[in-house]
Amino acid sequence: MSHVTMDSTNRADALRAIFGPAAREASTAMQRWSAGRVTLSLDDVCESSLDALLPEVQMGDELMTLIVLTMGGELGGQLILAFTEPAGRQMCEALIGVQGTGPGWSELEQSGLMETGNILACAYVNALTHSVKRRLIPGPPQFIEDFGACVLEQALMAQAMNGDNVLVCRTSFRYGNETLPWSMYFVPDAALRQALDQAVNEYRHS
Amino acid sequence: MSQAALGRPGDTLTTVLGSCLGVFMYCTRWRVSALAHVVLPSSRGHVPNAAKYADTAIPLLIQMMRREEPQAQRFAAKIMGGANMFNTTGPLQIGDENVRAVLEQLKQHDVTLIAQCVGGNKGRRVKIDCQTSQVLVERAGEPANSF
Repeated sequence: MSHVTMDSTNRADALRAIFGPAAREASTAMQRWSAGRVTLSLDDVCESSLDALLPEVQMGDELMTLIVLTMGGELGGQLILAFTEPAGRQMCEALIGVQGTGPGWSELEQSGLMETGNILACAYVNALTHSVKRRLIPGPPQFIEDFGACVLEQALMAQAMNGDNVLVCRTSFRYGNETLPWSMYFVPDAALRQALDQAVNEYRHS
Repeated sequence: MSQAALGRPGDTLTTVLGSCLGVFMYCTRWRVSALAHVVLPSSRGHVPNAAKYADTAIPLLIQMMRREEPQAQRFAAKIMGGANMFNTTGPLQIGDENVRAVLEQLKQHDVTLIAQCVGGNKGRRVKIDCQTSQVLVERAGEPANSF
């Protein structure tokens, strides 16, 4: 029994060692983009059964604004930036000096948020590419307003086809000392998950 | 996701659905109902979690309701979900496949389809009143729909 506990702890450490640098790279990029105001940190690498995952990664059924980038190339997955509408507006104002006036999102606001997704995804995926030693290419960002759990559910499909246990990495945002109601989720597809498993094994034997 | 729940009069069942399919089955006469959150169309023989797949979820729901109310028969169904959230193109559209597989299973098990709210590219937040078998579906930016 203790062997199993030690084994899963090692695996969790290895996964944090893989995703930690990705979150740090994204944080550096975000600091540049936000003039040093916004930072990111790795919250959780969650491996769980499908039925338990959504509460574990704190993705509820509330209406959210999401920027989704689907990875292309030999390995795939989705990077999802999720936030409430007020938090998105606050970020737009801080990042691009645009204050929303209407009930919906203006083109400029949408563009600013998608650019944020682009910047984060490029930095995150570049770092991950080093860890898994395989090329990951982020696709164009999609702006989505929907229930958060529905979007994460669709992103998990590629892993669900291969088994009941799924992996999601969650990164949180801070504005100075304040935690922002923003989260970034990285959901690998089955092929990338396999590459991550290989990287975990290499980490254990290093 | 990939769960099933039994509903008794007075219960409210809730779920959120993207490309997954919510299958609500009920027997009006014996006042028993059940909901499955179907993730994929086919189990291909892999059955540790029967609610996850269309081909195993429908028999599971029937079994759950019959265990609760052995005389229950003549089941009806309402289905919702099966969206394509990321507007992807290509031969494999999991939402459509889920709908197709569930419709086929309902037919095979002689379950009457009463209503469906499926497809599109928006997620659905679903609330079911097990007393009346009324389903309330909310989609982002649209008025709620009840059937």
